[in-house]
Amino acid sequence: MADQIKVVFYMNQFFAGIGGEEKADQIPIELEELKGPALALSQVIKESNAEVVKTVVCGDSFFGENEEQAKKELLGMIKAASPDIFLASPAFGSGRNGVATASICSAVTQELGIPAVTAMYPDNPGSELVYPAYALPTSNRAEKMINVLEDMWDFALKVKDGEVRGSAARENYIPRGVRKNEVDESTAAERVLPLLLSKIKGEAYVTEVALPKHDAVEAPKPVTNMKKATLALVTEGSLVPFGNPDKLESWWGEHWYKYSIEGLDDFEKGKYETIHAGFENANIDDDPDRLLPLDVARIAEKEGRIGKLFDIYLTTTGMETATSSAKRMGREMAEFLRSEGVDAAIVTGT
Amino acid sequence: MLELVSNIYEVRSIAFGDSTFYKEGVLSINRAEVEALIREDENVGEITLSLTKPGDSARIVHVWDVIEPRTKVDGPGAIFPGWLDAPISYAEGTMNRMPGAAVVTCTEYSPDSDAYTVQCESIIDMSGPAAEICPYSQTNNLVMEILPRDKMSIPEHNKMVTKAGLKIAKYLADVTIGQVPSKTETYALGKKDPNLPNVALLLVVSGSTAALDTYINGFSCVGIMPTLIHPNEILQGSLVASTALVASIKNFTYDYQNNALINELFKDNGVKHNFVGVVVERGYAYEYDDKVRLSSHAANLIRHLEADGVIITSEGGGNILLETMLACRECEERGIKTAIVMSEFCGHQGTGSPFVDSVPEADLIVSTGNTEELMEFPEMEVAYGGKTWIATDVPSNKAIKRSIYDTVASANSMLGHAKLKAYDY
Amino acid sequence: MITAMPGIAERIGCHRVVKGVAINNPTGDARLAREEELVQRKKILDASLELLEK
Repeated sequence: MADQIKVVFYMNQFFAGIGGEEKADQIPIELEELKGPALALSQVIKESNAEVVKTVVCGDSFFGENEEQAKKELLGMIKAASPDIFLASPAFGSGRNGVATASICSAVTQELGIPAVTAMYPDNPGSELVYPAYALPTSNRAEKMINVLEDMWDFALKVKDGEVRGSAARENYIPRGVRKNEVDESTAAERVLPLLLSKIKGEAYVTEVALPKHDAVEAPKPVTNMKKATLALVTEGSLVPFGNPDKLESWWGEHWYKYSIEGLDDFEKGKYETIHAGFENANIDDDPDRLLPLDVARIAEKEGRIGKLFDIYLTTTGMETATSSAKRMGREMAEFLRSEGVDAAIVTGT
Repeated sequence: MLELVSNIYEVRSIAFGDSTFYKEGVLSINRAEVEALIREDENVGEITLSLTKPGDSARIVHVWDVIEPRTKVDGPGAIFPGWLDAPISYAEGTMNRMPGAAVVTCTEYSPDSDAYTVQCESIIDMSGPAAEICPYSQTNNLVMEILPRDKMSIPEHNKMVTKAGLKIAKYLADVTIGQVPSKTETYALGKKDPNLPNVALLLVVSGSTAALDTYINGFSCVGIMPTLIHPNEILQGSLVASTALVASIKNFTYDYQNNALINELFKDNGVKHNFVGVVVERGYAYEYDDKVRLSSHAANLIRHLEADGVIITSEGGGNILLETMLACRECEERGIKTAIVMSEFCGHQGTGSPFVDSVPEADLIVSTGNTEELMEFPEMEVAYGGKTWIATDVPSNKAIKRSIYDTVASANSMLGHAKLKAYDY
Repeated sequence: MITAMPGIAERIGCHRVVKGVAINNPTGDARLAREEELVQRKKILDASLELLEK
């Protein structure tokens, strides 16, 4: 007889019957008995020779406010049960629940290597957090729970057997912010013209590439008095001492470097250069202050318009650089500058 | 009516022989004659000629340009105007072309060249996974590795190799003169049907420095304002590639001669739409105001063509994205609907956003795939064009893992022939 | 942030953006005489300092 498939199921406080909003601070626990969707699931999966061996619960607010701790505790409980499949109760349109189910599914797959599936309304903010696990699309309202659980189970079995290989559209799960290439049957030329003709005629059309969405960044508070502040100079234009001693990349930037400008009144031609591969370097090599305005910044310091010019400038390369690398480097640079008592920075981009 | 007649002589196999001739699908090439023609340029140093066929366990590296053999046989003007003959171009006449064959030029910059122009690798694998996504893996290729005799500036080096490729492309096609073609096609914009929508094509191309350039009838695109050009001129080689850009999204001369977007626009011309013309805009302008000026003027030319819609395409990545997006905005503001053909930069894992900037009007974008996806390139029996993968010690026939972007020639081409597409996963 | 493409900087979330001269020389212009260039560069710096206090 084939081995029984072990399933661990996750629910929030509401589906676990603990309470509503007032119990959203429920700490992570294991349930003694099958209830609600967990019970329904156990019926659905019986004929697949599968059993819900454990149910774990966490309040939506507790998860949202203590994510690292919640994940750690839940992962411990889940790991102890050695499941073959992990399912998290459908969140439908509930944002906090969706964030929790998606996050725990993602962690289970990433850290425990166990296939994990949940479900929610496609616009649920949780849908952006579920990779490398999966979320199936549902309606906004909590309805047809059994059907959704059945779909989740069928899908989870496919994931377990390595049969989910195609795109989100083909396999019917919510896109997870990952794009992969496939060789299409038709060329871009064959696809673009009919789409354009539809657009011209006022008929429906669907873009193949959605426009990028960017994180909102909170503006740091203004400098109270520049005359007392320490200002740093930073650039993504690959400004390096001549000869590029640390071998900063010309593209695919991964590293950033610090170089002293103590006592320097400007960047002298022949002593500094740019090695950026994204534009013709001649103008900056001729006068590197055209990339990072050290000369006028030093004058501003001497005239008292800046309290102090930080003794070190920072540089990296912003061509063909992964967004994630850029974010990491920006964070590292900011942490360094802050630890050195820098109040403000001028960043030049090319 | 301006009509270009294209006589087709398909090449099914290619071989070196005692003389250069074409017969029943076989193209025979005399090495000595090819070499002698290339050596008409005194700046040429070493020449190495080889042949590759689809399916060979062969790799071509350091590819500079790919050209389909074509020659003008009747009517005014010349093939590749401004390179081999007077820079006079006509949208009508008759040309012979040889689909199934291609001239591939390869070269290597000397190590102490201007470091800004990092020489980008560009390969053609004749078999294996990369062959599926490269158009020149399907052609019978005459591979010409050409090196300069003495040190040359990069722009001069580029021109030397470009011209050699065009010269041999014409020389090969010349042997078809007088023979009966297997097929004939005609290209004409024709009279507009007032009941059909008018569609134009906007090509945004390299034209910022002498190393990142495109040529129109032998004239550099650096700094030019957008211009109208008849698609029949492009088919006859009016647009010649000359840009040291990354492999998968740079335009090769072959991609202009066999422009999938132009072919698609001609296909149902007069049936589903009116193909009203082509505008070429150079991109990579260094100042923002210049980008705005260029794209605004391009939009005005497209409006002048009375286009209801325009397909916008570009070449390369980086700040040329702005010319593309601004052209989209300027066209939409003039009531011209746009569709953009765009390659994506989602990073090696596919998790980055496809491109960094856009305008809200860019609501119809067709994908030519994530350029930064990694691929395994298997070991091949032989490799031509260079001894090692560029800027590495790895022999060029050996296996390597790299992104499509700086490896596979024309794989994500925005000129429309790419079948690669990025999907949400 | 000093960049020749201020729109991009703004769209990705930068709050204090000053328009630079060109991609290949954000704080300079090889076409200008040296003295004019310094005046231009000082203007860009001053605009940046002003923004930092806002």
